[in-house]
Amino acid sequence: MMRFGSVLLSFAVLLTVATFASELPVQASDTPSQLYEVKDGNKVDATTLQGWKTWRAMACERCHGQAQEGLVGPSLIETLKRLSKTEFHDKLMKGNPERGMPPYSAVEMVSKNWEGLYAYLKGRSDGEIQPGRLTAIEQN
Amino acid sequence: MGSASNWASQAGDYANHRYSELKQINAGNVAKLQVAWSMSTGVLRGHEGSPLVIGDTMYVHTPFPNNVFAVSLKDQSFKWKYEPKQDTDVIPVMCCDTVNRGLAYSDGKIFLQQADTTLVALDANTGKVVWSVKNGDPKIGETNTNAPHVFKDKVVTGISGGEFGVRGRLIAYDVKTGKKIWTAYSTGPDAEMLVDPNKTMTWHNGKLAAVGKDSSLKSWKGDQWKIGGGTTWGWYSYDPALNLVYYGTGNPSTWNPAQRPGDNKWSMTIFARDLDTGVAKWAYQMTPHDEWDYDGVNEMLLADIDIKGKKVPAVVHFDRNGFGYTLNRATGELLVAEKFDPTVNWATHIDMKSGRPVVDKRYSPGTTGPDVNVKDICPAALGTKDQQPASYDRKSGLFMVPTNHVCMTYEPFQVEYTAGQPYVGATLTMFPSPGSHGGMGNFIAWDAAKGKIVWSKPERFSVWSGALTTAGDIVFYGTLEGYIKAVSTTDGKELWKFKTPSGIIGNVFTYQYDGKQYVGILSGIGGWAGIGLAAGLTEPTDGLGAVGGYKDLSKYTTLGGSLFVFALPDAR
Repeated sequence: MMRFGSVLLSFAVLLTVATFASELPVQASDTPSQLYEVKDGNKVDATTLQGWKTWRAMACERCHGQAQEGLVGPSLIETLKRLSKTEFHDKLMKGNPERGMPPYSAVEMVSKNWEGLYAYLKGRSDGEIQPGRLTAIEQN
Repeated sequence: MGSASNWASQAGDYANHRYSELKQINAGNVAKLQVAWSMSTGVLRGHEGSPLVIGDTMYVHTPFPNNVFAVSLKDQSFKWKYEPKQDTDVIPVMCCDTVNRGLAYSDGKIFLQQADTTLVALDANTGKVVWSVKNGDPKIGETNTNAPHVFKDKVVTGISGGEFGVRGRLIAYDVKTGKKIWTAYSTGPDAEMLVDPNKTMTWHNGKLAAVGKDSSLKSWKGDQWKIGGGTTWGWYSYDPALNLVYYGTGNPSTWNPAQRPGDNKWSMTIFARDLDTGVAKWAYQMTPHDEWDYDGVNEMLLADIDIKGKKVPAVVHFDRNGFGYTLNRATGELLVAEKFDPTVNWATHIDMKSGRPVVDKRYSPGTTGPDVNVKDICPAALGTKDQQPASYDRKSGLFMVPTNHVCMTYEPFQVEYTAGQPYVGATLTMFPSPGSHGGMGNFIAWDAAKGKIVWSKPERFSVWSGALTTAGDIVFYGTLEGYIKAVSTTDGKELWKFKTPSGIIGNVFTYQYDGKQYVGILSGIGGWAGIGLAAGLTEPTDGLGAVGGYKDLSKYTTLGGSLFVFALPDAR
């Protein structure tokens, strides 16, 4: 519970950005650096990399497609243009079993890395991150 | 089942022949076939399996929520409907499609294996529940998609969840009471697998030998067999004379081979078990230490075949791994193992002495290890054939086989097991077999004695529909675009086709009512081929060719479940 609270606090600024972004979609691509860092389309910061690894480990592509364009589940390229970060968190944790979306609140890997997952998917939705395998931005 | 008028089991018989002696509809007149009646199932998603017909009633099942309709053949009114209440929590664990492969019938009861692992016996006349049992737990990823199979006085069922670390098993219940008679696990201690170390035989070093003590335990690292997969969601068969049940087990969990050293027995295995005791007479592992997700669950067809001048009681099996196997079903002796698609490349051949595939290291994700993307492996994970069952033409002795023609890239990665969560550990992309006709499927006729393709009819998409052969010298199957087709058993020539509203992944069936032959099919796209596959096809791949892969499917079809029944026009 403590951890959850501090996570919310530390991302208060980003939340504001995300909320704005959902109202003014044009600005979404103006501020991607606040969420994720990307180089050459497939090298990302450590948090975003963990987010992609979580995506992969949870086999999200089985429903949302390998390029997040949707299959049985909805396109996350589209959905992430409209969802606020809070709404994203809510959907991820509660799921929507009737439509096939599992609740992830009890899965440690997801609760630990959900912000990275959000950053990754946002980067995909913004067109900044390429589909497929990612690596870490090399530290010089 | 005794009468050819009925279609009283999913395959029409115990031997999985999917063959009918009816021949009112035949090669000469099938071109005139037309719709007799149709009905909506009211459910979207993939419609696998087929209805049953007993006397004047047709029993139609649906994907989740697994509704059952008893339809009067007289006027197509519903005699009763059964609508189970299932927890929707089961849907995510079935990801990505909520298929159900149909019902079974015996002793005045209709058996439904629900997604949530409840096996229900319904009174065939009223639809009232006679008995109900649970054979698994969706909370740890256990679900069901398979049809229950009735053999003699037992109803036999399995379990799904190889992508959730489920421990596979076959379970037999008493038809009358639902009392559990035996459970036979695919992995673990001998006693739990119902394997007799001294009497259960396997093909080894050119002959049959006892499997020995702890045959499964020795082939896994530590306790991994407990989450080792080997699920059992295919089409089983039964030989009454030998009293043996035949079925295959699925992939070992996870899809990352580096995490599970060893042969991972008895995943990927053909089992022959005594129906009354469950004890394994023999076992044959087709793909030891799987690196490709080549589940071994596909149907087991039983036929007596002339091999080198000798009549052999055979079991014939078209595996996901692209090899067509013929074994002596009484003993487990390996007789034939040949590629039923020439593009198969993960193994050069099956070594007939050891019975093991000779793996080509270039296409071996287990050799290159985690986080390496291995390219151009043929077939793809969904196999040269998946669950779509083949048919045996009793007249020509040939097997009529719906196949896939798809290759893949495969990149394994490390995963941790959490109960009820996906335990996959590999990323795949799939594309039509390169250097071929550009399509993603073939419908073939197979000689199981020689291990040779007799004729092959290319298809634009995978043929994900079960075949039906009839004494009228025709074989029927459906396509993912939504066509039901009739082709000649002699040369594969197309004689008739009809476009149903949605793609077909169901199995063709036939029956006779009031003196007239009918042919039916469930239409309703879904399943792995129908939807899941568009996944891998966003990146341009050499192999995409003219057809453009499964993505093209959306140009031809959309979701929607319906039943179509065809007949010849009445003579005027």
